[in-house]
Amino acid sequence: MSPRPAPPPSESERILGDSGASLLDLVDNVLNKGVVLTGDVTIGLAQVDLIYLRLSLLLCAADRVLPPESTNVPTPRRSRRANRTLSSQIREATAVYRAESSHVRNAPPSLPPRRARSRKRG
Amino acid sequence: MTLCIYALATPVAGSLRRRGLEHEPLQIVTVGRVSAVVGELPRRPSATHDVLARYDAVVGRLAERYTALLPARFATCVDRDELMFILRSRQQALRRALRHVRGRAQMTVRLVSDTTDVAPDSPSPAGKGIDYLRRRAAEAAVPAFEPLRVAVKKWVRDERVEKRRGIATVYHLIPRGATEAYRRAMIARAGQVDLRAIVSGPFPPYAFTE
Repeated sequence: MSPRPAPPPSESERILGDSGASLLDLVDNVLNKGVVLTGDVTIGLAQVDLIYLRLSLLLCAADRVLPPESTNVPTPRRSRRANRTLSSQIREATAVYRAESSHVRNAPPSLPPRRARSRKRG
Repeated sequence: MTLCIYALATPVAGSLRRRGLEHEPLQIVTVGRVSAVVGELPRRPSATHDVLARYDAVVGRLAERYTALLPARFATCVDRDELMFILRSRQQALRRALRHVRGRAQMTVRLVSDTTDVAPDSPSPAGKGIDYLRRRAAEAAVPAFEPLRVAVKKWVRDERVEKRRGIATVYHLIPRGATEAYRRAMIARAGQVDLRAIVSGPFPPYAFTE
């Protein structure tokens, strides 16, 4: 029994190439795949992306994020009370921090060294 | 200047005497038991055909040196501090991924079929969540590939399937030493069941880096 003759190549096959690495392989591998080194996390179920979190780091002082004048910024009604509480807490903490900082700055440069106690033996 | 990351790998002994995209000397940044192979470039590379081909060639040469290698996505550029932070914070996950691909290569099989097995993605009507998930699972399945999967099953360590624009792409992670046997078995089986299957590879494990 002679082997079945190969069917003529379709349009897709001509684009895809017949074997080895085609242009499609190159683009697919290099651009669409490969490890992504950022803080992006995708939580998925059955190949469906459910949650997308961008894990960016935000490192800054609280008083710079929320200065006292920012209380005039309108906020949604539902979270207004919570925001007010949070902002007042941050302002309070910032005030304490500033007061402590100024206290440290205004403190005398150094205290006289303590005398070492000498023990007499015998 | 920026650091272009080519790949992550399990550290090996010896110095790396290879060149990158713009003929820059490649460097190794190691944190714990994960090394990043990087090159210092003046700017982020642009995605032209020539540059992509050179990038792929660089990663391919690295795969010859490292038995466990995760190719980085093209044009992943960071500064050194950020790279160190990422390697440190994702150490466990990266080591797990490197163990998974150690000594293995990726083979890619594309199915070109006129049947409804490889239907293009289409917007689904609204419904219950579970119906939606079932429908997505059914869409991701490629029944026509089953006889081919059986033919190469003994080599396959992991599999990814994608269906886009009427073409089903199946990525297999197999032992590096089995690539030719895999190709022969796949092509022979495809001929028996009269299926158009285009087999390419071996490639570094681009599709198995999650």
